[in-house]
Amino acid sequence: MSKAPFLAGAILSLLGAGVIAEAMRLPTIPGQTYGPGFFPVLIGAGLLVFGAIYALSVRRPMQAVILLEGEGTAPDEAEETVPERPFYGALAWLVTGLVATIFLWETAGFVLLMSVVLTVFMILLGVRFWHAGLVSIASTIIVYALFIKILMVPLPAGLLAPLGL
Amino acid sequence: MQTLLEAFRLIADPQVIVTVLLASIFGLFVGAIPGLTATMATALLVPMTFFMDPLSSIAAIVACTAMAITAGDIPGCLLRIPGTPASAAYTDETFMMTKKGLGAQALGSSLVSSVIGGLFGAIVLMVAAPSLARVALNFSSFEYFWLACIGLSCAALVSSTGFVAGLLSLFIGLLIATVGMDVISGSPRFTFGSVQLMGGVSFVPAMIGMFAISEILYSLLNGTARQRFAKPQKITGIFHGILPLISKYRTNVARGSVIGTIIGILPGAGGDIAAWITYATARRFSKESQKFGTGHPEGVIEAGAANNAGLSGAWVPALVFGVPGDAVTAIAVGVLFMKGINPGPRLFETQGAMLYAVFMIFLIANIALLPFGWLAIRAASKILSVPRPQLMAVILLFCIVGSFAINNTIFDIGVMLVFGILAFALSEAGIPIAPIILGIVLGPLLEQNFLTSMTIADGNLLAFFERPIAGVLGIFVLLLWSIPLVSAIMQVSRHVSHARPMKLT
Repeated sequence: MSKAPFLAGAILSLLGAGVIAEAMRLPTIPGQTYGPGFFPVLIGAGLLVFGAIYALSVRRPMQAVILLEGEGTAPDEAEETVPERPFYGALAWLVTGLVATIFLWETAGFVLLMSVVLTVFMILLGVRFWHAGLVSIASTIIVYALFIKILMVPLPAGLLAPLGL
Repeated sequence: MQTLLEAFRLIADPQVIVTVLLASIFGLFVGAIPGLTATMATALLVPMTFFMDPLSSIAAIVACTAMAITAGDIPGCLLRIPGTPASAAYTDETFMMTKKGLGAQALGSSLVSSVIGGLFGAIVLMVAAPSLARVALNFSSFEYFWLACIGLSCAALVSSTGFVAGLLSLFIGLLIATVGMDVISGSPRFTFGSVQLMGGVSFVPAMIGMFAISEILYSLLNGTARQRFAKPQKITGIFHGILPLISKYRTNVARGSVIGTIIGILPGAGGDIAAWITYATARRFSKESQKFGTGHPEGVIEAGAANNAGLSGAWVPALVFGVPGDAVTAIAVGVLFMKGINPGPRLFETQGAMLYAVFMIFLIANIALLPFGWLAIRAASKILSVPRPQLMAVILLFCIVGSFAINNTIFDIGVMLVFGILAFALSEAGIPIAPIILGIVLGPLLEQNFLTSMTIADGNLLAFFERPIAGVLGIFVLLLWSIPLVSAIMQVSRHVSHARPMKLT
């Protein structure tokens, strides 16, 4: 087993402690036993306790209470096609692209922004430039038209506004 | 009778018909592509349903998931890669059948048994739901509190990676549900001063992130993002000799349908668990159990019927109590809430015609599986040759625009990204995602009913056991909670003799 479950358990346990501390500060309703802080405290306690159990049970893997026969031995997907190396470049671009989308949404506009993000994304996954560009521009324009005209969603035109899009 | 006629009028609406048609094609496509699940199909569909009337949106979800679950058998049979988790139980079996030259029989029998199972589940839904709703009309906040507890507990208990992981996932979902203004007192909780969080975490972007973005992240980090599938062989004549085969294994069809429906009705467990359990029961009761695993249709037929039956069964608690049975119905309940319709027994009085129309959509969608499934199998090699990078780019585009379109805010795109990363990290750590959705949907129900009950009972916790039905439900919940405790104690006491978990074979 990797370190991931231990880390996740530890982080969730700490989160639970934080939730309890934050929930204690919530106001109480006079005359009532259970206020808005009651459930968050319970949830925090749950995260605290079970996060710790999860982190500590890494060495001795916890088994399902009800074990279904055959479960867990799902067919090995990698058997016939050799998996490639992780696409760190595309991954980094995906996150950067989404953050950029959030910040440039109004100024750059939907079509321009999405075309660039998707084209680069596909190129990083080994698609040829013209092919990637064509697919992303075409799909972006179709989606833009669909959402603006039929579903009335105000997607921003941004820099391409002068083109009357 | 009047209601039935009205229901017919409702589904004859061209908008409903076109929606069902498009959602079916979408479901077939998503289901047939490995890595894209029925839940993900539903999540991507939700932004579209936002612009439809309530009936069309539910019809779209019903048709899409039924098609996706069935189409998930296709790549399993041809390439030994299950299209959706619900097909994983018998993927090896169907692939062995294909190797023996029985591919057509494998796909044909799983398709026909899916249709029968789906229809059975739908009929149970039609018959059971209205009568259950009459009982549920007398339910008060005490009973609803326990029902929400059952839903949440089952979700954690059946989690395949262990109940601690399931519980953690559940608590995360419940925590997310508390973000925003508290419904009783109106005080903001965990908003950290953000105005956008006052109304709570938006459900749709969170879901799109958890089921679609996390999947993209997974395929990028595992190097499967560019993977091409082997070209599958062409399968024809799937209905040839199917009827004798199905009637030979009619006990399996019946058992699969019944068990599948029951598991579906249980909150927290859906089609994939139904398939695992019925594949096991088929083997247990088979006269030729030694043939299992060598390309034998019996288990495929039983589990194929069960996963579709489970899909229909899951709608019983969702519509009658507003307590969803699996991730898909959890999303559907969320959609209904957004449309201002509160699922629950009152719905059967006020929206009777619409509910009957939904039931009819179930029947239509399951019957439509026959021609649509046939088409999908014919087109399988085309669907499977869709290049992955382009497909992922288009999915990404729909994720972004879908998250934005719900509230027209960019904040929601951020919510989508954060939840995508969160879900990816959690599943890498062995924590399942589906209970989070149930936690988000059931959290408010649990808290409101608890606080309302406590206001009525003046803080006396024993009041939860004072009404007869509440008492029974409460004891049931306590028994459920004792399962992991008892098994933990047994594990400790038999520690030396290599304790094994309870096995359902």
